[in-house]
Amino acid sequence: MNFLRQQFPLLIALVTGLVMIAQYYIAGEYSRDLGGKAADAYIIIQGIVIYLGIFSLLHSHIGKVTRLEAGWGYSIFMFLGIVLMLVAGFWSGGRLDEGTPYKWLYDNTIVPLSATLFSILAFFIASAAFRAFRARSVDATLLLTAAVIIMFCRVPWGEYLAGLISEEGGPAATRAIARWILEVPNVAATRGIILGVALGIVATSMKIIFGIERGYLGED
Amino acid sequence: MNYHARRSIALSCARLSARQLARSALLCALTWGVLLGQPALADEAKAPVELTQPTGVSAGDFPYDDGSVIAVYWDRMPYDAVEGVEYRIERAATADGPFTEVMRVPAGKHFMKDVALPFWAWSKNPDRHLVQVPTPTRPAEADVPAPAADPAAADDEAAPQEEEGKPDVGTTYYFRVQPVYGEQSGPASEVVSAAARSNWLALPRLNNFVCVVVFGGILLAYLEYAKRRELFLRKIPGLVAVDEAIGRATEMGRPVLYMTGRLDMDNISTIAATIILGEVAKKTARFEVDLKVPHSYSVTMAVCREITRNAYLEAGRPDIYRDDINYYITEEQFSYAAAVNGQMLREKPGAVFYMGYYYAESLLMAEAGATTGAIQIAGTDSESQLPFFVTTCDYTLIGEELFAASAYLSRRPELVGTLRGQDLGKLIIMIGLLVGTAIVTLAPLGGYSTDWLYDILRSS
Repeated sequence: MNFLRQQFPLLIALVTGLVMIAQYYIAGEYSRDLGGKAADAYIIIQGIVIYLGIFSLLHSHIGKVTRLEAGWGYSIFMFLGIVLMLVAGFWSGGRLDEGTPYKWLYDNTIVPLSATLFSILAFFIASAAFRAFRARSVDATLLLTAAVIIMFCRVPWGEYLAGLISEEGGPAATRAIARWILEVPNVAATRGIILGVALGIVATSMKIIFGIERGYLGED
Repeated sequence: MNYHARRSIALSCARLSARQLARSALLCALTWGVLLGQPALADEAKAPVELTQPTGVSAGDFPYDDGSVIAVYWDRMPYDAVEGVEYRIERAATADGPFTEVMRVPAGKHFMKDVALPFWAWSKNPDRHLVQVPTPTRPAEADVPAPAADPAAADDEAAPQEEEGKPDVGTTYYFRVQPVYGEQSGPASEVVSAAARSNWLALPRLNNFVCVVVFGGILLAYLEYAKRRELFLRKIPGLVAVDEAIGRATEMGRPVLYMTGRLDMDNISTIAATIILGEVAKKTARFEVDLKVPHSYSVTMAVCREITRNAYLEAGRPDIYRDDINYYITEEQFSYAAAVNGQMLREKPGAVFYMGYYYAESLLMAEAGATTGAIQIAGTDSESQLPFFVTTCDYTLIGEELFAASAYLSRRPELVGTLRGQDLGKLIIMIGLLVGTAIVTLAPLGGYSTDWLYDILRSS
């Protein structure tokens, strides 16, 4: 029993990990098929486990309604939404084609609601930028300076003002400065982060494959 | 005006019209003459070219693939430089034909040197043509003469076309190459044959394999080293603050909210986030503070339940563990963000953790969290979302720090050892960058090619 709980999952991780690494270095048809089948297997697992998710969702919202917790009214809307989408889904015969009630409902509820939430991002960016651009330290001052230069170079009136200094050279210079900041120091820093992330990913993968990292199994 | 005057004007007008008409007629004739003469001029421009039979023609399986391509080679010919000369590649199921055109490529393109394979896996011969002909798919096409590919589509691009089904591996096909120039066709080459086969080794990925082996060796070496000697770990403020954040939530009697990112368990940053959750859950169990972990994927939720249960058990508080610590919300990006934001505004958590990979919802959630006054700690490898977390959160684990967190929090020697291995890996990369920069800067001055360096660095 102990083997099934502790060693067996590690064995599965080791074998699966090594097979999938080998699959990357093997070119043939069988290797390609194996990669596809592994992806399919994961989709099947997701399909099975989604019921756990639905059960969890219903359980937590039923609890909210019965206990009349803060915001329990939203849970009622959640139940209504589930019932409505289920009915529409069955009515559409499980299809998501154009013209089906399910697609109509999705396009006219989820899509506009998501778009509304996404549009709030513009205001949040402004408030976050306001906090970030307060020059309280050397780093923040550098960030502020770079941001001001980029904004000046990217907005039309920046080019207009530069054009007053030199009609032809001004706007071109502003574009060149903005491009340089974005393509040289910005890309250099981003690549530094990406290299560190890549090494971190390889190290974590190896630790999981060789059973050094067992935290994802709930073990120390 | 008298009669004579009027007649004189009328006659002069008529003369003028006649002159104009004559001029117009002349212009028309010239225009039509030019237009009608165009084909003749074009024909004149396409003066006959001596199209000799292509030499050195051979065919073979294209290496390092699953058999979906057969390569046809031939020598560079004298007429390759002539604009408009093309090669017609024909294929047949038998040596006697009938042959069908499968590709047509410009004569001045498609050489072995143009194939994007590294030097250790491919000979970059500049004097040998190479065309990659897609292998017919089985079974429908296997026993009949191969169908003609769209020659127009293959004009500029001789890369394999996407075909449905599996390639007909093992069947011999016959090929010949014929130069064409407008309506003029040269003699076809001798017939050559080849069969596609599925290759085993992806030799172009040798550079990647060597890197993984070297880096893996370094990690394992440091793992052993760390078991014998204690290694220094620099302070990571974001991880030092975990205790402070949970402590503050405890003092305020508010819950701790933990998110594992917007990707499923097949993503390594989600795995890293779940591992950190184990450490956080141990602390919340010890402090007896309420932990809430909303999920957007059921698989992640199921894994996190197991992790949290074990963490509470290890902390000696299985009695306060509940399954609904981890709960499912939705996979929809903004619906998830809306649910989390609503929860933050209603319950005012004392500490919020954003670990894992995020998209546009990062700022929506982190800004909402900031308004509640919670201590916010983020850790992500999504470089596009890092600026948002840096501006809105109190502490941010940048990139690799997310993957270092489990070692830092658990202090297990073997995990700490791998961190030192990562550092050595970074040092090697930095030295490689400096050496590489020096080589690509100085080599062209001495007339040396640096293609080999790009081959080493390129992912195949």
